[in-house]
Amino acid sequence: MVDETEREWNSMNLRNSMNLSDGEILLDYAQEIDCRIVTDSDDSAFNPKSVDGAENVSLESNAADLGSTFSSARSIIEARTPEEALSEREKKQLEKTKQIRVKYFRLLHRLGRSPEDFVASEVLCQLARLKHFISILLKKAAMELEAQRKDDLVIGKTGVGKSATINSIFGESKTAVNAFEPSTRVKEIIGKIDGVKVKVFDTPGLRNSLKDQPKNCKILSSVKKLMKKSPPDVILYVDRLDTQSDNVNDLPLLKLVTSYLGSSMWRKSILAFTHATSVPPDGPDGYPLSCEVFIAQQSEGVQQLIRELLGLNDDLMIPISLVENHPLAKKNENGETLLHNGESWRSNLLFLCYSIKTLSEVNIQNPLEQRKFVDLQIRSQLLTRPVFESHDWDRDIDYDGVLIEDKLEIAGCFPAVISVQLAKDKRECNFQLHSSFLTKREDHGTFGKNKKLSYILKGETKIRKNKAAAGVSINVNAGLNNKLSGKISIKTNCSDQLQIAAMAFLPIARAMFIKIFGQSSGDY
Amino acid sequence: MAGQLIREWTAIQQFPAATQEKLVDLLGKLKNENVNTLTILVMGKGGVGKSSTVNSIIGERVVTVSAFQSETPRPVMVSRSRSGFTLNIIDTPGLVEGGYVSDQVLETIKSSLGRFLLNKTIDVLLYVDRLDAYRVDNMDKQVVKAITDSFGKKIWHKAVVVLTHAQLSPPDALSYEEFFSKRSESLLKCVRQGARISKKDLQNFAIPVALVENSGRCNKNEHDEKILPSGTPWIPNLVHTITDVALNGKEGILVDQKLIEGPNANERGKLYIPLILAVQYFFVIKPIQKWIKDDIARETKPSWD
Repeated sequence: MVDETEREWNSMNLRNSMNLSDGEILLDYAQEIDCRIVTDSDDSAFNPKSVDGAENVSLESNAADLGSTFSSARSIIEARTPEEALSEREKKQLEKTKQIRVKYFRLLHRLGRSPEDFVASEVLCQLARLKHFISILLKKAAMELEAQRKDDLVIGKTGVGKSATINSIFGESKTAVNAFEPSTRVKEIIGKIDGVKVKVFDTPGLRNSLKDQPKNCKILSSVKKLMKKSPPDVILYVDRLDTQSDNVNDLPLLKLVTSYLGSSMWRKSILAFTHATSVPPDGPDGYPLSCEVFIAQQSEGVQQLIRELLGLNDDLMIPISLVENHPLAKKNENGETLLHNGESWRSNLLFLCYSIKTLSEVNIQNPLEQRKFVDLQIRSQLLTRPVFESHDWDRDIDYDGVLIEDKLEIAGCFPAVISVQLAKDKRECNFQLHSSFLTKREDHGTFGKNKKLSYILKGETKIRKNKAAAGVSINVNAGLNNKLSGKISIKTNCSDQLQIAAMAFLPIARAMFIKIFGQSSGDY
Repeated sequence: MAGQLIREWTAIQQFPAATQEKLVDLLGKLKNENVNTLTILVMGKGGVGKSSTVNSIIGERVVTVSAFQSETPRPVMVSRSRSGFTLNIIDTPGLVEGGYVSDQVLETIKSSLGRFLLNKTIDVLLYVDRLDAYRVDNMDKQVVKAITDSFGKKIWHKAVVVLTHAQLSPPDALSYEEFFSKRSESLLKCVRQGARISKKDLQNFAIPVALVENSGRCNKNEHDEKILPSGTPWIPNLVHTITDVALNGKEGILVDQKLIEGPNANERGKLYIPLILAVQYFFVIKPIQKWIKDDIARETKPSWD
């Protein structure tokens, strides 16, 4: 099986236009997090070397400039190779991980995607982050590469196009669609897409009015039973792009859905917006909005609701897929319906589904060392968007400023988001830094307790008319699972004298980090 | 909100010439019938296009429209006059909030009507919904019921159903006419059920349906008029329907104190009080008195009496 994989990869002809930045990111993860990059052995360039029984497989071939960096990475990794031999289980685990990676690469190839795609590289990074495991329950001993299966669950309001979307995904009319009558039962639809067996559960639509809540509850409880029987890999929440997102009206419905299906459903869900090629409405100036702005606003509305429901501030970003089921929409030469930007939405959606499935498989494998990572985002690293604000007296909705966001890593392992907001007249500027980290460790020592430690670091600097104000807040939560939990919260605030605040921050931060790192050594 | 000084309808000039002509004709028709004011009330769910329709009829952006934010916060009355004829249009916020019909919104609408239109009549009701919504559900019935409860069943004599987003390609390979007739049929059925119009009364309540396309991308014909997919220019069509309803002989809804405050709960069933008293007296009190007397008569007297 392994040889077949190698051959396949060498013939895959990966482009060597991989950005240096992407390669660097992968390397950073490798160096700092002490993970094992599984590097490919190219017959011509390197000697295939196996480290303690694990095969080396690489992502890159024939890139001269990166080859040297890779070899240096390899030397670092080899230097860090643990003294003890890998246990049998660990080998199996690594094998399983590698198989998942291989499976993912095959899927990528089938869909015509390259590993440099942002989502793909995120998934690969997550796979690359896995460390040694201590004890894992292996779900299946062997995984057939060809017997890949995917289960989907499609839910949403009535009349938005769930059944039509399913028909479009399969490329043929698998289920009845009627413009005026809702589909009445939960249906199981099985088919093959590109050789992968896909099972989709179509559900009747949820009603919006409160009088219909009992019906909604019935529908949702039957969906829940279905989920217990055969848990879906991906949940598609379908809504229309072109109806006004009455956030207030949608909130009770989303609450109901979350309460029945569990808040973990949002970790493996995709927001699908139908009627995606509908022309955006006119903006306040009378001219139609641009598609990106329209899509961003509509999707952000729903995301905001879900975040509120789950009580998270900014960490959850549910992937979005645009769908167009109208028979008269523009198609490319393969017969796939295109969106406004020329992309085929179907392959996008399938790709997202496979990525989510891969990630969820990975998560099952390491329940112990859980890290809260930033979920998949389909945007570039540097995000720039305008900020709208309406002024009551003007009756004009004008853009108020620009917001730039970027992700970075503090001290190499804590994810953080930094954002800069600049007001239109450049009189006001906000810098914000948000970073959070959660780790859960299990000690098999005398205590046998679960320790939970998390920290949230927030910093904000506001500069207005050359005056500066700054604030920093750190929350540290330490908890033991028999309800002995503590919370330390530190806030400093200062205006005009940034130096004082900074000085106060340093010793506190130092003490905190020592405490955190002290506990990480695990000498209890 | 309401302007006390009624402005000239200058925006009628910015319509293309053909549309202007037709509008002026229609206004003339109204004046011939001695109708010098026309009051239109626009109601419906949120986000369907009520404010956009008002803007389109008037011809300028009098009411704020936002694609994303919740719409009109309170009712707005727009008045325009032209050569002695006054047009009043009242735009209202959406009636549905958070999954149910909001009583608060209804209260605001009624109190605003009290301020703008005390002792005047509402001539036409525009019930607005989208053409490209595919389901008619309980929510719509509740909206209709709320309107009926507030204004009385008679308002549906003077109603026009307006379907916005009329420029659509119908789904499921239906033709445009087919789709339109199915949609209007289901919506009218919902209105009948919500307003409790019995089958016998149907002829009286023949509610017309008008199509509207408010976006800037509306197709135009050779005279530069905005047209529907069927080719008819929709602004004159809509105003024509409105004038027909205004002149259909039924009386408009008078906005009086009673309408604004709503039905007085104390008045309910007042007439039944004497009847109930009579029933109680004859059928309850009298028999009980008789039974008590009988009991006293049957009582055995003790020997010392």
